[in-house]
Amino acid sequence: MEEINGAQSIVSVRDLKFEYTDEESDTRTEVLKGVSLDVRPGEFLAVLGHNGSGKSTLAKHLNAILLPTSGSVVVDGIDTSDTDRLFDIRRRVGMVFQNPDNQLVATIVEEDVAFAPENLGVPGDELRRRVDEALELVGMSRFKRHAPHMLSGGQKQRVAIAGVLAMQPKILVMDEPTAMLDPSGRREVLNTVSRLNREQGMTVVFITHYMDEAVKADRVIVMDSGVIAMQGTPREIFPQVERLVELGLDTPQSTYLMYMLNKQGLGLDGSVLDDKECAEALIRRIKRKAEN
Amino acid sequence: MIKLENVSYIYMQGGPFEKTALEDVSFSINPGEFVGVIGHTGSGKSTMIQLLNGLLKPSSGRVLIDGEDIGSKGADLRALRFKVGLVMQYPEYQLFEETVIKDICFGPLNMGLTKAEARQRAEFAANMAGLSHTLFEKSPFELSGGQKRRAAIAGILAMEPKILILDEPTAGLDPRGRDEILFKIRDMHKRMNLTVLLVSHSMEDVAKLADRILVMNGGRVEMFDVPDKVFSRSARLREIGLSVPQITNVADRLRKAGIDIPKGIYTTGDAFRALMPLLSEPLPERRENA
Repeated sequence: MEEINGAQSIVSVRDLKFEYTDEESDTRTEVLKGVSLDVRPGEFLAVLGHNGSGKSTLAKHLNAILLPTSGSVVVDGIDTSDTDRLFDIRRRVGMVFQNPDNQLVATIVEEDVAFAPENLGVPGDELRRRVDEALELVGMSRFKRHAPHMLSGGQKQRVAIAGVLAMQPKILVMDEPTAMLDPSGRREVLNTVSRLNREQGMTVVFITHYMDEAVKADRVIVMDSGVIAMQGTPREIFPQVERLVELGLDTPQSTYLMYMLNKQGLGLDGSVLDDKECAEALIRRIKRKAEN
Repeated sequence: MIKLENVSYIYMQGGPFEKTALEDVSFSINPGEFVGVIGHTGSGKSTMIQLLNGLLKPSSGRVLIDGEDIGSKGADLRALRFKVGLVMQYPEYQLFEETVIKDICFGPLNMGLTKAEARQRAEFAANMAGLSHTLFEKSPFELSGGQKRRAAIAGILAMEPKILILDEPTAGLDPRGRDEILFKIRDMHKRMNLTVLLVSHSMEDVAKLADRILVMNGGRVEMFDVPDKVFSRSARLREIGLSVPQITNVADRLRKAGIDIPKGIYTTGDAFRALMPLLSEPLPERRENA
């Protein structure tokens, strides 16, 4: 993979270490053991790793919920350890978490979206514009006067995303935003995020346990025991089935099928990522064989 | 044996926020059957499983467990809840005892068993759930996410229910944690001859494990059939907010391209077995001696 020029990245993590001390037993636990990472503006980065691998801890460093024990995290030119600029960092990096019910605060959708910018003192006209825009971007405009608790899980998560967008952040950090959703809710959230990335140029850091979601990213990093164990494009990462299983992960069914067939020496395209690519590769081969 | 006869359930009946969660639902489940339950959020799945162990009573219709109408006046709900074990979503939040083994003993002690009997059942249940005895004396809060989940399942299992209902037991777990739990559930089902209802958002998991799949939609039973029949209706499943396993889509695409692939492809193993004969070279013909 080519070197990324530090000056061009919107997030720059250098040799980040994070540890905490358990007061009772006086034992120290090292959660991040030297992570270096650059995120380019407009990139869609997926972060994978089993539970306890350090991926959420890494995410919480991106908007200064946690500060490095050593090393540095620079976001849009601001060092997160510069506590005077905490506010600037939080405004640039919007976070969305797993449970939508823990993130919605108001009784009406549009009031929920207005909550953060209103607290920042954004004036009325501007506030109205931002809320409308944010709801439009996540496709929830027609629910603006609804009560959040009456919405489906996917809709709630989209409202939570709108709440973050109303802050006009430069980076969207999402920590397993689809873990509690049904299949259609997952599709809604993923499509919304992909569209924000593609059409608005939003930089996205997306943590997930679902491999078929990570497939949509520009780049994937895999965390293990507090370090980055693998990184590359989805097409580089997912065919490495054995390594992924070793790291407690899996691979999309289509990619896994090709891996199994190729173990029998069939020499098919092992880098397919979804059902369409997989079927096309198989059809080509079977038709060619029929012609011979 | 579980039987629902024309069951409806209405929340806040008669009030301004009245909402029908289940409407005229009838089905029966045989002893020892493994049933997958799918449906989007709000389809009535949760209401249905709460009716099965008497947490809710039907607004109309009857729920019969082993022939007993659990909504009738004299119904013994306490006995029912020991018979029908319900593992709720994120059950690890309900762990509360000082040690793992005490937590698992809580249910059997509540049933009036002696300490020794409770302990015996707890150890058996922990073993079935795949928890090592080295964890017994630890605080539940020291366990990993997957271990906590299995401790919570063991707590239900220790009451030796005949019917085990699990509401999204793999939600929020990583792939390895998901596999471990599902493997254990399959094992329990086989070895303890349990009737299992597995509520899941993962079509892959349901396809792999279930004898029959109950599809809920809008408070009604949309389908209740073997996986072959259910997943052959992929367009309808998508319409009601569900999906089919990715590998099933691959097989559908091949079939559309005129390739002869059998139905019932839900796992990569199924697809592998179907494809190998189509892809591999025939054995080279024996050459005549030159």
